[in-house]
Amino acid sequence: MNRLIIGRYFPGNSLIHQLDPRFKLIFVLYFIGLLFFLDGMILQAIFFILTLVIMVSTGVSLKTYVRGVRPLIWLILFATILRIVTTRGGAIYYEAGFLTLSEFGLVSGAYTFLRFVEMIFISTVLTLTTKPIDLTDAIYFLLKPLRYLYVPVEELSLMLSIALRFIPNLLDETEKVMNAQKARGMVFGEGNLLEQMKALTPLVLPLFAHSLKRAEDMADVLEVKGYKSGAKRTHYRALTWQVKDTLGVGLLVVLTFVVMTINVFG
Amino acid sequence: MHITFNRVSANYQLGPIKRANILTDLSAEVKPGSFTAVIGPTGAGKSSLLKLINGLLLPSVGEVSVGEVVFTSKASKQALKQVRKRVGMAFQFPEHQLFAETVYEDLAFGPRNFHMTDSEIDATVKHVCQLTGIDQSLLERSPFSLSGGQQRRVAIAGILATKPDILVLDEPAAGLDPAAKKQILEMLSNLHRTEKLTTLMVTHDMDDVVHYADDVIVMAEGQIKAHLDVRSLFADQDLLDRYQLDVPTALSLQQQLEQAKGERLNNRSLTLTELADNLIEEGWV
Repeated sequence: MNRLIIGRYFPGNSLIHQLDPRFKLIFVLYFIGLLFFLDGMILQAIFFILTLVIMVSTGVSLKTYVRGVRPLIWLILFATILRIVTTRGGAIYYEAGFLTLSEFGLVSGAYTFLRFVEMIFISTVLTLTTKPIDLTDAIYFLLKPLRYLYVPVEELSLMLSIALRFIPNLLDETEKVMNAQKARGMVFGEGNLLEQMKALTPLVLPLFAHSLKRAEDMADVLEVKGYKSGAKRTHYRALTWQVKDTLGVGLLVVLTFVVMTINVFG
Repeated sequence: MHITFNRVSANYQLGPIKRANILTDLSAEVKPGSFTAVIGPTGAGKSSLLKLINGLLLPSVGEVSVGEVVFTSKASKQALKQVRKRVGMAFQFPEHQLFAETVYEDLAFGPRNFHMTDSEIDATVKHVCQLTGIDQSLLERSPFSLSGGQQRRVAIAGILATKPDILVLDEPAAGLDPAAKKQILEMLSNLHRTEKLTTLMVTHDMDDVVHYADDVIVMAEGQIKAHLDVRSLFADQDLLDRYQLDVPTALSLQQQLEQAKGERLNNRSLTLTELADNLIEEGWV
């Protein structure tokens, strides 16, 4: 559990922490979108430096971010290599059938690599600096217009926040049941694949049984407390849009403008 | 079977990031065939102490020995398997470990892991049912269809089915109604006597300590602060005050009576019978 960085919240009080989660969510989505329109070295450099600046300003050590990339490194390398060998142009260094090692290939490979890493970094910034519950509220806010299409947005966001809320409990319980079965002589991670999968039954089944029971209890409690779906409700945690958030939107506009100008005239 | 801790420290460190020790420099010896209660405030390291005995937590410094098996920070798989065969461990709410389709299958889970033959398993299951008072008719039922008290019984039976010499219990009666609680504890106490099981039990109930335990380990801040017999513990008011330990109902009643009367009884009473005897003897009633 210790290795998984994506999806973890690091408490802090940096500028990034203080921003409105709605803005942060929009920013990250938009930023990732922009990453696909980068043409040429200057833009790549601008975005790379910008990503670094944002990362540093969260106050979380860069090592933490690098750890977040690690689980995905093979996927990234695979995409990068695919990009390198299938792009041709400029000086060609090596050729084998439809695979080439060319100047353009290497350059666009490097860009692909950068794009992936920046995508992971920037989304890690979002999860590291935003409480899961705030993120849920932000998602709820952004999905709100879908209500007019009869999408049960309220219920979806309730489900999401309950799910997030119980992740730590589930981890604790997994550890407990695992220990209990180990104490009864169970050995995890031994034998062939089939045996290992079979070995999961004594672990997964109690967890399921217990989660179902808890879900039932929770539903009862919600009902007892008079929770009704579709009712109009106010929020305990209000999100506040501040001047810095508006400035941030300004930054997005400027970025878009820069990307467009350089792409057209550069 | 002997359990010894030799200058053991332990923590839940994963990877290279340094974490504070959960247990620091423990040394203790648990006598074979004794019933030891482990008490102390929450976060004192009681559960971690129990996990050490079973190799679920390995010492970072020092060594733990259980019978002839000794393990340190680098315990072999073989040693761990051996120790887990010797030690039966019930966590808090042990019924959460039930998983099989029938009670029989759940009871057979431990023995199967320790490679008993089918006929041995059958005999063992019958035997532990008898020990724990589980009716044979329940064997074909799903463990999830039983009541809370019965589930607890089945879970404990499942632990006994590995034929341990040492029984380690983390609040075995937590969350049960008084009748079920008494039944479970009486059952465990009987097992301790008839099967000669060395038993360690974490508890918060001082009446349980008085009724079932011979010795007490007092823990606080990850250390063993005292290891003594029950009577000496409750005779040592300083110790009780220092670690904010409760006293048994009888002793608490005695203290209230003493305060009201402004006098003291010569002996400290641990059970109500004792209290009654003392009161009569000294002519208070």
